[in-house]
Amino acid sequence: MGYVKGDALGGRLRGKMGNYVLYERLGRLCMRRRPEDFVPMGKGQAEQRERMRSVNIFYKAVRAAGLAEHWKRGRKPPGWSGFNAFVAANLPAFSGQGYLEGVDKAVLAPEAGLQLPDNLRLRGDGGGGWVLEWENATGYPGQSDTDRLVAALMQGGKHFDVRLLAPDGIAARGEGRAEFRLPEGWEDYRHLYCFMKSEDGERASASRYLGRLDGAASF
Amino acid sequence: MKEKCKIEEQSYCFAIFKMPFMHRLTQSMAENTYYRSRGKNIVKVKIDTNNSRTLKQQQQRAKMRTLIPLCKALNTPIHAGFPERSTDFSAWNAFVSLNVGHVSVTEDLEATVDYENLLVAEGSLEMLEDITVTADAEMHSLLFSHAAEDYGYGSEPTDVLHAVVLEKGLMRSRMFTLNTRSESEPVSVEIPEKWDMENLEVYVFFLSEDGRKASDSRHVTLA
Repeated sequence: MGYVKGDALGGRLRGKMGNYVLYERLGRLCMRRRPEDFVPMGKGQAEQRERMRSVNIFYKAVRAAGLAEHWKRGRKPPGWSGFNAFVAANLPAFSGQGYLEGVDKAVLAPEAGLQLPDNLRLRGDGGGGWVLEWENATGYPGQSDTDRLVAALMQGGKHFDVRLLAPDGIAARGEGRAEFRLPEGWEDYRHLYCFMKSEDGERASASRYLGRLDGAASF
Repeated sequence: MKEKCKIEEQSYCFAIFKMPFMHRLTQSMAENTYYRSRGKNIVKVKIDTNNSRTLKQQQQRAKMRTLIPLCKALNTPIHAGFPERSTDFSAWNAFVSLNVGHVSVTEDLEATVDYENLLVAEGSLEMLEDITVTADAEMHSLLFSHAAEDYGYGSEPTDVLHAVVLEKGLMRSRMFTLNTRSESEPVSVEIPEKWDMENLEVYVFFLSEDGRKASDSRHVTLA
């Protein structure tokens, strides 16, 4: 495989050309020779293909939840798109069968200028609801008391859809706590993820998996 | 040219060839017969006589005589239901290949189709776990209902559910577009008046929004 710097058509050449194929990968134009024959796919290749298929659908679910913009703005290597960064971050969360089995490894939002607050923890309120509490001891750069805590829920397994408890967040950073209950019909959505986003939505923290809403955990 | 020869009671040879000026050559010429199979040009020695009539050969021909009319009857859904097939295969090739095992032929060469296991679509999308079809003989209609699904393994909320209704006696079919995977509202379709509601076989399958992926079809029993 070789890299191509520019082409006669101003960088727009793509596809098959004789015995060669031109394609773009991670922001670079590549050219390689078409294979004459194919070796049957190995087990590892088949599993990776299943993971990629599922990650593609997972990205669509995350985009439908309104989180794709964070991936576009988040920290990533030069030439990478938000989708590239999403795939790299979330591929390990999928099994060789294409199921979301590593729910604790799923990343819903990358770091994009903010940090989560200190000592973010989850506990039950004893009445069927849940409480998130945290401290604001460390003054992270760029943070503001008006930053919003966003809580997202997933089922995991064969289900990739993401539900936000509130698109604009459930509490402000300065409040130090947030209370919530699972809405009706969300009983299967037990895996909780949280991240902070600025009031204008331009900056966000990396998401963190806080556990399953059967028992509380502290992080 | 690659050669492959097999010597049995009647010896024969065939070869795969690539010749630019004979691209897609078919029929017979001199002592050779040319045909295309799975996207390749094949040449073999012309056969002067063909007295192949073993029971197995006759049963296989009976299967094909049964499947080809089914292909005609299910032409529209077959062309929609196999978008992920090999490029060497036509839609009919895909249907016959999948379903030749679902036609049984007795020693008297009577063929029976296993309609419950017939596949009118195949692909990588996930099929629904539960879907029900209720027949209304008075209104001559069918009511389809299923639970809503969202993004998941092999599924997107924009996948479109299709129903194929086959009237076995008339050997006619209709394909209906129902609703998307994320919609749970029941959908009713009208069956042509001349069709016998007792003689229907119903299949459902998903197509992706762009029609480039399909699920395996599923036979649904009328309630």
